[in-house]
This record gives sequence, structure tokens and C-alpha cells, in this order.
Amino acid sequence: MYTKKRLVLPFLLPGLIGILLFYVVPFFGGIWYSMTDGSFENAFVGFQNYSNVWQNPMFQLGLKNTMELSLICAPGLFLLSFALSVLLNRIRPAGTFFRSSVLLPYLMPSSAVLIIWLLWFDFGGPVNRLVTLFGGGRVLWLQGMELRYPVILLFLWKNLGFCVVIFLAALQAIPDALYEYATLEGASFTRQAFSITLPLIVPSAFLVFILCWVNAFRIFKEVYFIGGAYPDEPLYTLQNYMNNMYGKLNYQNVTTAAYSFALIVFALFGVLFYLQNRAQQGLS
Amino acid sequence: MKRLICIVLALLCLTGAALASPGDRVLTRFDENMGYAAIRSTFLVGRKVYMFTSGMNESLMVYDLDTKETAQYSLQAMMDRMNGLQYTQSGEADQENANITEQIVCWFEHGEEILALVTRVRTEESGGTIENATVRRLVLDGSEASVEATDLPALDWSSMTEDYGTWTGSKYVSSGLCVGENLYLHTYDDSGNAVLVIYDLTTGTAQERYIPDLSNIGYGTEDRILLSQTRWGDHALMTVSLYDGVTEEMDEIVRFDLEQVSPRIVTYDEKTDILYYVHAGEIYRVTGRDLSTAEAVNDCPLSGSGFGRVLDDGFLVLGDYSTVIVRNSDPAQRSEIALHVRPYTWSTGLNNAYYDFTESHGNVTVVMEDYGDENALLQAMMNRDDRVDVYLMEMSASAFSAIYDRGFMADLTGSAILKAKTESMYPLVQDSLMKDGKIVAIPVNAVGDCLGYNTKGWKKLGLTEDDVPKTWNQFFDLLETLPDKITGSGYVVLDFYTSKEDFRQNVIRDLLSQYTMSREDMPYNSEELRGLLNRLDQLDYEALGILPGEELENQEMIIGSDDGGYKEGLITTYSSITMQNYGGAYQAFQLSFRDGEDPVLPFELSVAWVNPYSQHQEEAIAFLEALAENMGPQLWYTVSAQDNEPKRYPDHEEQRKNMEKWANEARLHVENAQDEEEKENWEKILADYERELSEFDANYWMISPDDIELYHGRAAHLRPVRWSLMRQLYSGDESDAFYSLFDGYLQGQKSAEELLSYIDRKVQMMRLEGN
Repeated sequence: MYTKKRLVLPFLLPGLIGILLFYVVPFFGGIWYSMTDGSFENAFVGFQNYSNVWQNPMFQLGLKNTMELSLICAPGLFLLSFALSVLLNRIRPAGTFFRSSVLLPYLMPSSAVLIIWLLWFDFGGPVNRLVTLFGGGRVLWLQGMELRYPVILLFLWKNLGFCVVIFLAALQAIPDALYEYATLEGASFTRQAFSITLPLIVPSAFLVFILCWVNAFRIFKEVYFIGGAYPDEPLYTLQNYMNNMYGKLNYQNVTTAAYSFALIVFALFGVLFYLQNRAQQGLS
Repeated sequence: MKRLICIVLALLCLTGAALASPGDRVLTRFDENMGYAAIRSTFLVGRKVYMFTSGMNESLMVYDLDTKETAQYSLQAMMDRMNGLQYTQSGEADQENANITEQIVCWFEHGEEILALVTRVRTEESGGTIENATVRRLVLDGSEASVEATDLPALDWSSMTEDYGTWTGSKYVSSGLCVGENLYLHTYDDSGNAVLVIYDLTTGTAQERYIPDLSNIGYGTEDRILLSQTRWGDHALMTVSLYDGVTEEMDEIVRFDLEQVSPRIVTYDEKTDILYYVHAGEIYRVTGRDLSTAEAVNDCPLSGSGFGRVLDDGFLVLGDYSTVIVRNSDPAQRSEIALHVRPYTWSTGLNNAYYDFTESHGNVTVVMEDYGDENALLQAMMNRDDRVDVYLMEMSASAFSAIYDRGFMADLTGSAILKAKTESMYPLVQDSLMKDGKIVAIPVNAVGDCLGYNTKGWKKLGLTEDDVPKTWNQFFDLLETLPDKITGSGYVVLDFYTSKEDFRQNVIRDLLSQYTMSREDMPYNSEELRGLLNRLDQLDYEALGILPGEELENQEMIIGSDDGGYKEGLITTYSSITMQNYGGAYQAFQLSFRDGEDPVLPFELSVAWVNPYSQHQEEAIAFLEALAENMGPQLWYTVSAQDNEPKRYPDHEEQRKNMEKWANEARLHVENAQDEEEKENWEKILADYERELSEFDANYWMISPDDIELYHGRAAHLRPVRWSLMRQLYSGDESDAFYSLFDGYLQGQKSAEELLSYIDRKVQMMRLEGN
């Protein structure tokens, strides 16, 4: 047994070295880097950069906006994609066309999609025409707080397909025999959903939920294309801050902001993992 | 002439100076900043280098590579004989009242002699024609150079002419060279396509060759030329080939990817099959026609394209419009120390510093690199990159702030020269060059413009110094009353080429840059700034005669128009605030935002500093000392009040002498006039010459006494720009959005409020983010 373990090591070593060189070292190197002043002397300043960045009003604004957008986008995307995948799963095989269609926005380049989006939400565009048709006044969708609506809708529209595909794969992996057996045993739709469907798709649902958050945190391209490096305040995200700091060649602040954000994300995902484990145990 | 000879001889003192590799020499050099003379063409015949120079007087220098001596010949007498004025004055005018002039189209080598291609032009009232094109031989006699007839037949010039209405002229000849008995002329057809016209000198007949993307021709082999074809586009390429114009055979040597290399002065050695080219301050050699063998063999400071030949001993003769040098091509003999200088900006004294430094530091090679991406500089510093030793950059660049703030600059305080220079500078400039009490940079260029007024026009309008506006509101008051005052004065408000949009754009440029520097941390969307922009919007541009761009394009040229011809503008949008003299006609307005407040005049200061990781700190600092010594009077007077002597342009004496010569000739004509009418005519000409001479003496200053006095009056208000709002708004991610908004504002589609609130929002966010 001992001999076998020793034999495994040489096979693992290249991979481990790769992980060490390309992930572990840069990760800890970055932490060290965020604790230096980046000057000619390259002095160690401890948490001074963290303190500065956290106190920076634009970092705070970016973090606040990123969290707010994520809190809207991630659950919204999760629920919508789940509902849509259940629907598409029920209408198979006719659902093939719809399954493919829903994935299309994900495959299209953001810049191309954005032009259509800008036309739609223009002051004289179709969306405002619809609003006026229902008796409302025209809205400046591409400015200020209102800009959040097109950005959120664009995000949902673009990412929905990918989440639906994962959900559908999980739903379709459940053997039909289980449902047939449950039906024979007289289990209701609700009973089947909670006793068969949900326990079996929890791991996939958790994956989708995580991906929804990750994507929501990275909501930047859409904002950047519309508002540039300095969009209106409600749309200024943490990525704007990091991007602008990079433009100003302040790499210390970029690194510090990135690690600060990573810390928050890790904490959030830690809680989610804990909840998933608890949910899995409960459902089992 | 003496003056020119003295300058040239002084320059020739450089000849034979010990340079980076054994045998490196400067054959001649003209200071391009002075702009009074240039090398027109260079040839190598045997062991002699012929350099034709232009300026006030045409001349020829012949450098003997063996004796290392230069002989100087004047071409001026020959030129004077060839030009029409001399023919007419000496009574050689054609009987049919036509002028006959001769023009040298180009010089070229032919065997052991230099030949000239000369066209004879006949000019009549009805038009002009080219009578013939002949080949003549250069003859050197005493200190004079001239041309004499040869046995070669006249050339068939029909394929080299262009019609301009009733005039027929020669096509522009970019370059000409002779291979065997074939003369190759690089010219362009009516559509602007490059074309090679090949003359058989034995018969005078011509053949045209259209070579796709032809960009340059040079000496190749005994029977072929070296030909460069440059194809621009997404994947720019330059192909260098040997070409036989008679058989049309093309033999490709190498193909450069222009995204990687920008080769200049390409030359080929047939004996060794080695191709040499200049790139990023160095000479590279390619052996076996394989670009992967490219190896730097020596430095080369020449910045333009030009002449290149390989000597039998392997040395290279290279030249551009200002300099001709000899370079050793053996990399093994190159000095061990190579100092790399990277200019991210233009500098007045960089070239002069190079030659001064290399002359005094024979053991150091200086590589003047091409401009690079300045944003990569901080990364290079963080990686402790020691490849580049000296950097030059504008202080308003973001990269400079990043470098300065983080202290990636070597301490220069130890240099007595730099210390003394810095200590004599204005305090505000000194502060910009220092960090934590240490000198870290030296100035290399200073430029700044703002609105200004024509001083003569000002007086002509009856306005005095007291009428010069002191605040922006007073400036707009002036503009509101100007239409009444300016009528009949012979002046217009702005020069005819300045459109309403240009004017508004420049006013806003000045307003915002001055506001940025005098109102730190204040919002832009303030009542003060909004009020001024509203006043700018409300001006009666029609009454001021300031036309929108579209209308301006449709206007006939004002020069020669019915209303009295060209009129000077009373106000300019580009009046220098530094010591740069653009003719001295305009004086900058020094406008503040409130009564009693000091004005702020922002200017761009470029500096040089030493990489703190440089392995050659001592040499790099010595190079900066050379830069400091070669600042040039205009920069030096801008940053320092130490010297107050007015400075003439170096060619003042020479130009004056020529003008005196013309005046004396006119005087002679007055004395020898045959009748009263002729005498009267020549008296008028003489009066004109004398007036021009007097104006020349009064105005032909590099730095005039008035310039010094006026500059001292505003020097205290000058501020070097460290953060440029316009640069931030016009560059990077925000440029498109800002450009669109600004354009909308200039066209009157957006309000001042919208423009300022946009700027405010961006700037406030930038400020809050910090650096």
C-alpha cells in the first residue's frame, strides 16, 4: 500500500508544480504585493493599502453597487432559469428549438448585443414607446439610476441560457422510472418535486447559484460599454474602480481591491457551501 | 559666406572625434533646431563623400575619407547664374521678353564623377515650358563649384513633365541614382502613384516602370538598384529587393514586418551579401538574407531616412537631412557601455546632447531609442528593468506622475552642473524637478499657448496697455465691443483660417486648463465657469466676423480678395506663453477669473531623468549634463532668469548680408539707370529692400529684447502642468463620450451646463478615486 502511494507521487508532481507555480505562488505573491507601497524602496506597509482602499469613497461606492446589482441579478437569474428549465423539460421533445434559442444571447458578443440594447432603450426607442402606450412618460433609460434597468435586463437575458442548460441537464438526468414508480405509488406532483426532483438537482442548483453570483459580480462589460470608465454613480462598480486604478498605473490599489473583494466573495461562498450541505443532508 | 563657412568649420571640428566604436566619425552636422540649412543630397565617389547643402547659400562639402579633411565649395554663383533674375539683370533676357532659367532636378553619381540633371525652363507672360533636360558634369575650381556640359545626349523629358494650365513643369523627383548607364528617377504620376523613370544616358530615351508600393530607391549592386516597397494596412510590410529596371527582374532580399521593425536607411553590401538597416537608434546587419540573423552592430542617431553606403573596409557612410556620419560595422569593436535613451517626447537639445556626449565619452555608445508605450514604463520600473538608462517625458503624462510619486528616479543632486543649472531656475520649475529635497529631473522642453493679441494691431486700434483685459470677463467685454472698434482698421478679429468652432474650442481649452490649476478641487459646474461659458455662447460671432467651419470652407481665399486682401487677426488662439517666439507679433493675454487675482498660465514641461536601476548611473548623469548644457536658448530662458541677453538667429548675419547684397545691386542700378523711368523703378525696389532690411533687423530675433521683457512680466504666472484635464478627457476610455458631448456643445446642441456637469462628474470621480 505504501509503495503504491509513492508511485503516485511522480505522476502527481507535474500537476502539483503547475498548481504551485501558476496559482499558489501568484496568489500569495499578490497578497505580499498588496502590502507594499510600490515605490522605488518597495517598503512593506502592512495593511495600510487595505485601510486606504477601504476608506476610499469610490471603492465603497463600487462595492456597494456591485453588491446591490449582484443581489438583484443572481437570485433573479437563478429563479428565472430554474422556472424556464422546468418548463422546457416538460415540453420536450418540442423544447429542443427553445433550448437552443435561449442559449443564443450567451453566444453573442456583448458589444454587438449592446447596440441593439441601446437602440431599444433610447429615449425615442421601442421601450419608451411601449411605456407611452400604457400612459407613462418617457424615461431616460440610459442615464442615472434608470440605467440599472437595461443593465440588469441585459445581464439576465444574456446569462439565462447558460443556467437553463445546466438545470436542464440535471433535470433530464433524473431517471423517468423514478417518477413512474412514484406515480404508481400515488405520489402527487408536489410530493414528486420535493422527494425526487429537488434532492437530485441540489448539487447542480448549487452550481448554478454560484455561477449566477460569479457572473453577477463580474457585471462590468455591460456597464463599461454604456457608461465608460466613469459611468453615472449608480452604475459605478468595483470593476470600474479596479480598471481605473489600473489605468492610473496604481497597481497596488488594483491588487488590494481585488483581494478585498475576493475576501468578501470567499466569505459569501463559504456561507453558501454551508447552507448547501445542510440542505443536502435535510433532503436526504 | 564667411559666416556659413565658419559655422560649417565649427561643425567640422566634430570630424574625427572619438566616438563609440573605432573609426566612428561625424562628417558634418547642422543643428536642425536652427532650421537654416540642411543636407540636400549625399554621394560617395571613390573615397570621397560629396554633401550638397542648402540654406541661404547653396554649397558643397567634399570629405576625403583617407585624409579626413573637408573641402568647401560654393554653388551660389552657379545658382545665381542659372536663375532668371540674374539673366534678366545681366541683360541676357530673351529677345521675345521671356525669361530663361535653369534648374537642377537632381545630382547623381556616374562612375567617378558627379553629374547634374538640368532642365532649361522658358517663362513667358502666356506661360512656361521646359525647353530641354541635359546632363552636366560637376566641376570644382578653387572654392567654387559649377557644372559644365557633357557629351551625353539631351534626355527625352516628355514623360517627366506635368501641365498646370498654361504652365508646364517637371514632375517632383524624390530621388535619382545611376546604375551603369541607366539613370533611375523616383517620381510620381498624375494620380500620385510612385513610378520609376529609367533613362538610358547613352541615348537619352526613357522607360517607365510602375512598381507597386514603391517607397524608396538606393544603391544596390553594379547593375541593380536597391528598392523598397512598403505596403501599409492591417499587416504592414516592407520588402527590400534588388531590381534591374531594364530586365524588370526583382530579387527579394528581406521582408520586414513593420509592426516589429521600422527600418530606415537600408543599404546593401553585394560582396558580403549583408543588408544593413537603422532601427530604434541602432544599425542592424542581416546576413544570408535571413532576418532572424539581424544583429545590432553600432549606434546610429539619425532620425530621418536618407543615404547609406557600405565602404570597402566594411565601414558605413550614413546620412539624413542634417547629418552625415561614418560608422564601424563590426559589433566586436563596439564599446562595452551602451547607454539607452528613450524619449517619450520631443526635446530641443537631445540631438546636440548626443553628439556632445559621444564626443567627450568615446567609451560609451548612446542608443537613441524610438518612442515607446509610456504606460509600460511603470511596469518596467517595478520589474527593476535596467535596459533603458535615460527617459524623457512630459510632466503631465499619467506615467510620469506614477514614476515621480513612487520615486523611480535617480538622485541627480551629486552633479555640480545639474545642481547649478537647477538652482538658477524659477522656483516653480525647481519644485517640479525635485522630490524630497533631491534633484531628480531636468527640463528638456517647454511649450504653452493661450489667447493673445496682435501688439501692432492693438496700437493701431488706439488701444493701450490699460485696455488689455486682465480677467476673462473683461476679455468677453472686449469681444463685445470689438466689432465697432475694428472696422476700417485693416485688421480682422481672428485670422481667416480660425473657425468659430476652433475659436470656441481654444477658449474653452484655456478656460478649463487655467481653472483646473487655479481652482484646485473646485467643481467645474460653478457659477463662475458657467457664467463665462454663457458669455462665450452669447457672443455675436457674425458681427465679429468669425465664421462657422462649414462657411469658412466655402469662402474664397481672403488673400487677393476685393476687400483689400489679407488682413491680420487682432486676436490669436495660439500665443506662446513660454519663450518660444513665433514671430513676435502676438502677446499672450494674462487672464484671471476675478479682479485683483493673479492669472495662472499653464504650460507643458518635459523632463529627463535617470533610471534608478541603470547599471551606468555615472554615464547617464553625464548624459543629462550634456542635455542640460544643450537646452537651447528658448528653453533655458523659459525656465531660468539667469541670462537676459537677446539672441539672434544663427543665420542672421548671413541672411543680412544677402539682403544687403540685393540692396547694393539695386543701388548700382539706380546709379547706372539709362532713363528716369528706369531710375524710378529701381528706387522703388531699393526702398523696398531697405525697408525689408530694417524690418529684418527689428524682427529677426530668436529671443528679442521685447520677448525678454514681456516674458519676465508673465514668468511669475507660469505653472507647469502636472495633471491635464483635457488630456484626461481626450484620451483613454472617456474620449469618445467627451468628444461627442464637446462637439455637441460647440455646435450649439448641448448647453454649457451639460458640458460642465459631465466634466464635473468625471473629474469628481477621478479625484475621489485618487491616484
